[in-house]
Amino acid sequence: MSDPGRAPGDLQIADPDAPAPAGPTMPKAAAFAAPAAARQTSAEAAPAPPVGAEPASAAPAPEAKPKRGRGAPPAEQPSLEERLQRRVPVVGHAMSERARFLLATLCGLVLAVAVHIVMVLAMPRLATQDAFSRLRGTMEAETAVLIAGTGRAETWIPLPDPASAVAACAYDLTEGPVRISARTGPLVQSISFHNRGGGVFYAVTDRAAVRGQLELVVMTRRQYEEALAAEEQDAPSRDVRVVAPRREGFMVVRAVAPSPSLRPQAEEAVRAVGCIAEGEGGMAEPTPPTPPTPAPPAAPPVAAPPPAAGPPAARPAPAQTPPRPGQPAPR
Amino acid sequence: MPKPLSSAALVVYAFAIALGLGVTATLSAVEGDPPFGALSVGPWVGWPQVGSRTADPYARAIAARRAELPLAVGEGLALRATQDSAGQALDSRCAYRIGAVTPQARLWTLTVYDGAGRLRTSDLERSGYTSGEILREPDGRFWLSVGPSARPGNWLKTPATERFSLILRLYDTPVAATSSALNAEALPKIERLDCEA
Repeated sequence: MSDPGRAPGDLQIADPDAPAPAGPTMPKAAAFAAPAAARQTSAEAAPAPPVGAEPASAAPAPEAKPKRGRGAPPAEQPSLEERLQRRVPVVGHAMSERARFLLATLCGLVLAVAVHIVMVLAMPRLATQDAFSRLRGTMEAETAVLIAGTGRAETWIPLPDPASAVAACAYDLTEGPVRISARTGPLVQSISFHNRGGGVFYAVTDRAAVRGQLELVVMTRRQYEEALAAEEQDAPSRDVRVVAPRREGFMVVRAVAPSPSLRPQAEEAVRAVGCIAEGEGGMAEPTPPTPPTPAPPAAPPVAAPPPAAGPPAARPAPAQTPPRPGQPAPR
Repeated sequence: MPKPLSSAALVVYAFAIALGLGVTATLSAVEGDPPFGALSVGPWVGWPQVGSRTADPYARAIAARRAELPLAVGEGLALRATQDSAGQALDSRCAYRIGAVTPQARLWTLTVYDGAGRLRTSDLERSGYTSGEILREPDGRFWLSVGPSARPGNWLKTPATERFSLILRLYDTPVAATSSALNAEALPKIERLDCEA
């Protein structure tokens, strides 16, 4: 991008004979050519379009600086012909007229590509009618909300399958993980997790169910690590933990009825899927059986005199520091 | 001599190009099908990556615009046909014979949509068949007729619009994970039989 832009500017600046009078057009060309500065140029140029040259060359364009020293004062402008004669390569003139136009076109095209890329990338974020936005209302719901019934039920999903029932619930993991629990039946059933803005990061079918029950917990990476740390070794959690790349997203559950008579059952099955936000920390169950813990963790870190073998190991260290007189610095 | 173009005019011109072309290109790009990652086998086309982590920005933009809930790779695979096996666009006035095998899947559905992607308007008329309800030959193969007038056996009426499309959904299929294993032999063929004037 910088090369084509550079050319005209260099050409003019490098031409020492080119008398200052180039004033009116040259700086403009140079300023316009400044490729990266296209946007600023517009800002400068826009306010005072009719006045044209003098102000533009006098005030801003840093590119025009070398020229301005010599060139600003002369007020009378030599005609194009004069400049043509003085200017050795005729190309120089052609550049300043047609090339400027081409350059503007080129800049326009490059910017068009940029506009296109930005728009495409921004579309999923800014969309107000995408799946997540439409499902936002289901965030508080404790069970999945039916969004496409079987048959030709009204739905906003494009190209719905009349044999399948689709339910969904949106989640926001800021408050804590979300537990999805489904009871599987005879129907083909699948659960998928979608990021806000597109992309499916996890999917599972009812074949993965354990004794007819599918327990999934969606969590952020941090919540996952916390859950791992809080987990008891003897009683590992049976949940399938799904790490979500983003905090916001939605779960979609589908059940497919192989025959019309099973369609009500399919709708019922997807509606019954629970999506319940778990509070802080997420792991509510493993915490009660804490009693057995104190013994093992007490050994390594708590070498401190106070025998306060607090149940959790490393964390309470700061709380123990005050009683220690000899060591003012806790760390 | 003509007055040289003012810089302001050129800048305005450049920005007009940028906005005009950029917006037009974006709208046209997200209007149709995803430009990348198409899996095309015979008349059937699918976009398995749309239902994966690696969906490209165009696919995401299109999904956002249409409010799509794509089938995830682990859930199944949806394949769409807008033309027959000979490459001609599907025409509602013509009769087609579709069969006889599908890739391995726990359950599949084959559905007819009209030119605007809608299902049939009456519940009394079928919009599609599932693998569980279709009538089969003794050897397990099936034949499905799609056409404007009724035929014996499995039959779907073509929609009222001139063009229509078919979607074959393979639920819980191992094919989705290794979509390269799909070949035209494993998918149903769409043969055009005859057309009503």
